[in-house]
Amino acid sequence: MAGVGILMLVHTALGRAEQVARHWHAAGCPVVIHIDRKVPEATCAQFRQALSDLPNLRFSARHRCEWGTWGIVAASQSAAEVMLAQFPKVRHVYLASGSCLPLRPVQELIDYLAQRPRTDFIESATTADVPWTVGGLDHERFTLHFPFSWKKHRTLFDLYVGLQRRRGLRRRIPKGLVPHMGSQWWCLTRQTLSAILQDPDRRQYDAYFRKVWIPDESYFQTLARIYSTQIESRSLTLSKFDFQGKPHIFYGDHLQLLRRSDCFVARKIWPHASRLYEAFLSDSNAAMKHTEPNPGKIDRIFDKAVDRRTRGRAGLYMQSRLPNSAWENGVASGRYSVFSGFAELFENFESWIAKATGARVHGHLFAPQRAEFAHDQTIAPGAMHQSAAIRDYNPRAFLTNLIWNARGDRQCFQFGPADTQDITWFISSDPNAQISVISGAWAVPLFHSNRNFMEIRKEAAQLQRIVSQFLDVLRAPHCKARIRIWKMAEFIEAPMEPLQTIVDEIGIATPRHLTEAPKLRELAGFGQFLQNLKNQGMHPYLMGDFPIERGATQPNIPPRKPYLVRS
Amino acid sequence: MVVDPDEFLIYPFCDSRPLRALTDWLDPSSIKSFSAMLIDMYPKGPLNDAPYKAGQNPLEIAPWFDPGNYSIKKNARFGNLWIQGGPRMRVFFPDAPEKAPALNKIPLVKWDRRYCYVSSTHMLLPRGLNLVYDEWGGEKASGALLHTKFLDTFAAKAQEELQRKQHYAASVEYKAYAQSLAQHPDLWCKWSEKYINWRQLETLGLMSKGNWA
Repeated sequence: MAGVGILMLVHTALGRAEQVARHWHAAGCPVVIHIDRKVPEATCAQFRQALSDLPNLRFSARHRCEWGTWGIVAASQSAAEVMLAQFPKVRHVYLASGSCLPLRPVQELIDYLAQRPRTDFIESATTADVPWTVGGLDHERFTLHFPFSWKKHRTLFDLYVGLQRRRGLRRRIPKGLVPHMGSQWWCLTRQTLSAILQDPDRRQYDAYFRKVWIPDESYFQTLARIYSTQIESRSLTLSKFDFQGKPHIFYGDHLQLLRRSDCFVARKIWPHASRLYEAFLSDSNAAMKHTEPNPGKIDRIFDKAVDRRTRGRAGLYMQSRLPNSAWENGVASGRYSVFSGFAELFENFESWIAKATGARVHGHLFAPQRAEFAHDQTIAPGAMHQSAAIRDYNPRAFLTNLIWNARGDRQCFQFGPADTQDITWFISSDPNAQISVISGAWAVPLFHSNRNFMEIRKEAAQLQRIVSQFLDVLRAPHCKARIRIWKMAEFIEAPMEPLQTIVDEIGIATPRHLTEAPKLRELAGFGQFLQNLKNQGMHPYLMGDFPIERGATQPNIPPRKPYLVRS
Repeated sequence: MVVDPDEFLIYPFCDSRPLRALTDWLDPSSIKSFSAMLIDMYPKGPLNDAPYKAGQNPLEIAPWFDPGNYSIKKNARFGNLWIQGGPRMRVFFPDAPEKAPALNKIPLVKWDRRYCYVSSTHMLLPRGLNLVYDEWGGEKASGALLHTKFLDTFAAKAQEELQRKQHYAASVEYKAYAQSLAQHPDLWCKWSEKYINWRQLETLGLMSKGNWA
């Protein structure tokens, strides 16, 4: 008989439990099974009958096991007592459940433990050090009363916790105990386990832990600290928990992953995952190298699952993720640039910025007639239609879809007062947006237009009103975008410097000095044009102070630094 | 589970885990309803170019779908999402997107006699069942219903539905179809995506594994 005894707590899928019990037993491990009191008597009798041919298998007194309550501890205690009393050769006692599955040949576990005869494997950490507690209760598990079920009467549970907090009600922790917590699946030596079970103060401890919340994660974990000479604070059972504190379940498609985990035992296995049961219970060639358990690979997958459930993919809006405002974790999925006034001021701005940055440069995406996608496409990645009606039906979805579909490809677009303005608040609150505005440049196309001055005056007044509202949004305190605003007069004084800043911030693989400037539109007479507007009673103020007679100088590229060629 | 005969349910790991694995996971997770949005599938080329034969897998003819043009709004009254988009909005309703049909569906529910579907499987009562989406940044698990309505049989179907007049909003939808179909439209475009598997839909952000791993 092996020196390792197995305690199995079972409550469902008894057929699988039987298979696993036989597997342990066949390798020479005595097995003690605890059947949940909730299992009907008939089912229970059938199960006992099915296993009656195994000489080293016992059943222990039954308790009602409800999640988070004392029953599970009581069940472990009774089963452990049977094990210690009836199988004197057992040195290590391994607590497992009916949905645990040994991944490595049992003999390896037996050898592993035989080489560490005095080591207790039990995850046990002080409450200050564990991040995994559910419901925000860590130390309070040990100091409050929990008469109401968390699963069935959540409201009462919360109300009563709140009441005790307000009243400052506290339970006293018995002297000598330092609360520890950890996985409920442990493997203890006979010495430690019997010391816990035969402790003269056990009645007192039991009475205390009976009212602690989730005692199965703290009873043995705390008491082992008193008696163990050598604690390895980890569980030999691979068991991953999701964000609700519920164990992750393993399915057939986890086979390779489990094989590579090198863990002795995994839980919890889906009862219908025949592929796993077949592979691990019959095929001892599935044996892995004799290495230390290393569940790191599995950890990553389940950590990612928790992350996906709690944080999700930034900038994604879909049927099962629609974050409330400020909970988006990144409003759009990637960074993008919005240019206002640049295409009006420079003849070739779009092609210039595309060349300088390698970004995808759209025209006015929010133009009233249609979304002006880059290269005059009528349809954009993701099968986005250019229809203005579709876009304006849900501008936010339009933009976030565009950025999401681009998948890391930097997007730029032009935005002006003639465009649909519904999106302004949204982009200004997005930290991914880089918004650059040359205020007043909207007047340049009017200046070049061949229209009657009264019409121009009217439109100028309207555009200026819209831009001014846009600027108000950009200056509001909620803004998180990277916003730069220049008055047009100021900008054309030295356009290269702001352009360089913008290009640098967009960031290209090889940052370089701009070697080519965009071509400024003809502005001779623009000052007079503004003066004419003023003379007609309209007050253009957004462009800054333009002297009547000043045109603008073409932007100059600063000369390269001289350098010396040695020969 | 409520699905139409022309809807193919896709859920995370559907190629390696049976539906029972999903329900066995949903139940202890206290998830009572599971969302699977409609994804309209279509062929490349006019609908009647590749006739459908009885017994054939319609996805052989119509494996294409729109990957990223869906609009989501929240219905304040019932708490459900209102998803529209895809080829039906793009081709049939580019000028009246509000009339495009709803694509949000909740086909899988742990049923209780007090529950009811309000409008097809688009929304449920009580309202809590409609909260199949996370509002705090996370992703809940969800699936998709591949909708193989757009086959050569569709034109006849649209006519029939027009005459039955049983549909929502006085068959606005079917009127639009009948009009457009007369011109033999091609729903396919250069950004259409060809269906491969559920992982593709998850990568595209159309569905999610949530915390099922």
